[in-house]
Amino acid sequence: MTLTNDDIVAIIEDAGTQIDMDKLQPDTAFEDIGADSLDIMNILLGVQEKTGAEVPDEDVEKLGSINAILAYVNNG
Amino acid sequence: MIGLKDIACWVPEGRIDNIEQAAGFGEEAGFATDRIGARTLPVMAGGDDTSDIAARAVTALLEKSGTEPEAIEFLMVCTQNPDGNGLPHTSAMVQVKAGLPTHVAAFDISLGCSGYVYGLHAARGFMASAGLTNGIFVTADPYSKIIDRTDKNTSLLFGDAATATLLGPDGVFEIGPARFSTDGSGGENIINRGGRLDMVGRQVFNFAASKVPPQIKALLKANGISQDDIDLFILHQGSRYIVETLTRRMKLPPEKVPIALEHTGNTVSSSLPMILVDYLDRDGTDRIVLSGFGVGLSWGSMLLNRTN
Repeated sequence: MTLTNDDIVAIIEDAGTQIDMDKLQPDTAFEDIGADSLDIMNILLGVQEKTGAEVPDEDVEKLGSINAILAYVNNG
Repeated sequence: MIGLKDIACWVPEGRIDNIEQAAGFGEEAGFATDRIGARTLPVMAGGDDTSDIAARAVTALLEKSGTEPEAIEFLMVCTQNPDGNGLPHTSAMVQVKAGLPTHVAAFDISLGCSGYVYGLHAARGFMASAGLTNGIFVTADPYSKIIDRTDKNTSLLFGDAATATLLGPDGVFEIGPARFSTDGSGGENIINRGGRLDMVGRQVFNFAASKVPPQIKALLKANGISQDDIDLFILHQGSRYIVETLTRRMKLPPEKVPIALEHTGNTVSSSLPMILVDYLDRDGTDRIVLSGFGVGLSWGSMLLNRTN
């Protein structure tokens, strides 16, 4: 399944993270705008549930922004 | 009918400063207090073992409820950190340390964070089958015995405690219908490897966040009850973050979902009774959902219905 920028934004909103949504841009690192490791874990669960594909633990560190997730999921 | 009559808890006085621990792992105080949810973690004294804290909970229960030890016929201890190597069973040591009579049927059950939900049904079933009147169900799983204090994944989370629940006729709560699930394929995500607790936090979080809400919903649906009919959802206190995540995912009113681990941390199978004890005689809590989830992976959810 292909994800869009809006899909990821919706996942982040649903997850209720500490991310400052006003500062959220496709290339912004989540950790630079308030997210911690728990938030990223929560976002990636939303991504897994939306796509039905599992994100292995060893790939988590690569997935710290919207664009990184989109590239991973859509080109994976 | 065997019901839930009373609960007593025993928490060690020894404390680990969790803010200090978090700082040692490069985390700010808020990570300990707002995300994990624990400012301090109780840890049992060096000379104590599982049966000691379990026996203190039993003694506290007998005193609180005014029950004579001779009246107790059944004792079940839920632990995965027994005295020694689990042989003899911890419940046998609790029987003698708590001064319970030898006519007590005593055995252990091995479950982690789902243990209280499973245990209430296991205890009720055994007591009913054997025709026993008064029993005690103990939870005591002191993870300090297996925590590596250099491991951030586990060191910030768990606290030691024990609880004892009195079961018998004329209970405050009826032990209501339940749903139980097990997925051993995820067992390695929380495991004791050679005496050291090893946990893959992300996988445990994913499991809880995705499996617990549908189980609770299925329980309610099967019993013709809506979420709005439930006065209180007591969820296993794995961390503040997981309780808040479940609350959000199930769209529950936060005021119906207590969070109480600031000075206890995650006490494994003791976390549900340590909250429930505060609602034994509180108005407006006639129908309660209990849900425990973790080691196994194992999860169980049940209804408690007030009887009076």
